Amino acid sequence: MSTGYRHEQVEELLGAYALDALEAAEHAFVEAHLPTCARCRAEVEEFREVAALLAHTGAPAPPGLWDRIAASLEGEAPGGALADKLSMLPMGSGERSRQTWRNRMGAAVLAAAAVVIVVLGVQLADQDRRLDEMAGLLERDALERAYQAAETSPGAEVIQLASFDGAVTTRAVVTDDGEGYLWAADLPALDEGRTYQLWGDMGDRLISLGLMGRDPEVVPFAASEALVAVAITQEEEPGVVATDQPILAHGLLPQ
Amino acid sequence: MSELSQASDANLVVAIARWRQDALAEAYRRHAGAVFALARRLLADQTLAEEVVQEVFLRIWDAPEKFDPDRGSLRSYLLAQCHGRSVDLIRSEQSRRDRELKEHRQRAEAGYDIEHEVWDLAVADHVREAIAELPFEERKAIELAYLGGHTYREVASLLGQPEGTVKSRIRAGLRRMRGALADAGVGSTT
Repeated sequence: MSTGYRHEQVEELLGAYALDALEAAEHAFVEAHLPTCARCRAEVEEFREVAALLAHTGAPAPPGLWDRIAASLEGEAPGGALADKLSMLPMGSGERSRQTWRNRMGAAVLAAAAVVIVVLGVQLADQDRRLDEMAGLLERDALERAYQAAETSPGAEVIQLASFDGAVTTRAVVTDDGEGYLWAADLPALDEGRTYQLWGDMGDRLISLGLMGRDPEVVPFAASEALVAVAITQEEEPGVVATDQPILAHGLLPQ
Repeated sequence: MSELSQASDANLVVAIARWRQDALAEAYRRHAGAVFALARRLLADQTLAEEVVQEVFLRIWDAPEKFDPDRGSLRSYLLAQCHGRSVDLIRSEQSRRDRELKEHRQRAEAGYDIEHEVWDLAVADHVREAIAELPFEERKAIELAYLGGHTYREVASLLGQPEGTVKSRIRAGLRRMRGALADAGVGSTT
């Protein structure tokens, strides 16, 4: 019984496995088999779909629960050695007090700030995989449509991003309700192992708005009013928490 | 925001991976009721159930790449997470389990009630039909395992049936339901 579980024996356990109805030893046997067997994985997923149909919604989740979840996502943004990065660039009120920008932070920017916090706690490789895998899910043409829709939406503003020497230029659109889309298709594809990274300038620090990959087309981002500018750098995969690379392109957001 | 309310679940998870808290809020709006109801049902404890819901949504926030839209719906993923975590809690508390075993033994004797648990009116009829097609013993085994949070060995003991038989019935019942739901066009993707 120790190592001799065969496919047929695992198969017999799949129903109970999908319902979490195995005891630890059998559970472990199935877990060891699944990565090697697409057929069994598919069966488990189908069983879980069926099981999900047996679970009912009942009433909505209790009031206040979301607030507790949202609160645990938020936290102090760490002090950054990033603040100097754009200090030579003209970006308006560069000396916002922490209190001021915290008050201006919208939920989306708090989420973006969480990048910094969470990344410190997890392996960078995880962040890389997360963004790579998830980015791959979105069809590029859907993003292009989103960009075009944003561009023509009422109140939207197009901003120009440029390098100091003007060699790199591109643009982004920011909608009235703070959704941003960076048109990145004009950026040259990078070598394997390199990635573009998008940064938001909070006035007194940079926060990562996400990895863009080595050959991005349209990159959505949260353009809260707390951001005064966005900037692009080129990094080694899997990206960095704090950049020491030169700014490739930079653009002021509408205030 | 209106864009998010119309986004597919898969795109919501993409946005979550980009640290969009409003996307997590939308996923919560869509699915937290079901996740909470399942946890509440399994744990019979409001506070513990809320903790499980919180864990499930923080987990998708921290590790959205664990959800693979090619392998199932977001709802079934969240419910599977919720179920696994709830069952862990049940099994870590022997006294609670003993209480629940007694409770479920009574319920098992009285009958079953999964047909009352169906969540979505649009698919409720199909799910009810699929459940109705199940032989009684398969239905009971699935109910005790999934909604009672019991292992198949416990189910066997509750029903006074051989373990191997219960194990096979759970799988056979799920396969039968899957087939019936697929015929009705319900199920694998949402």
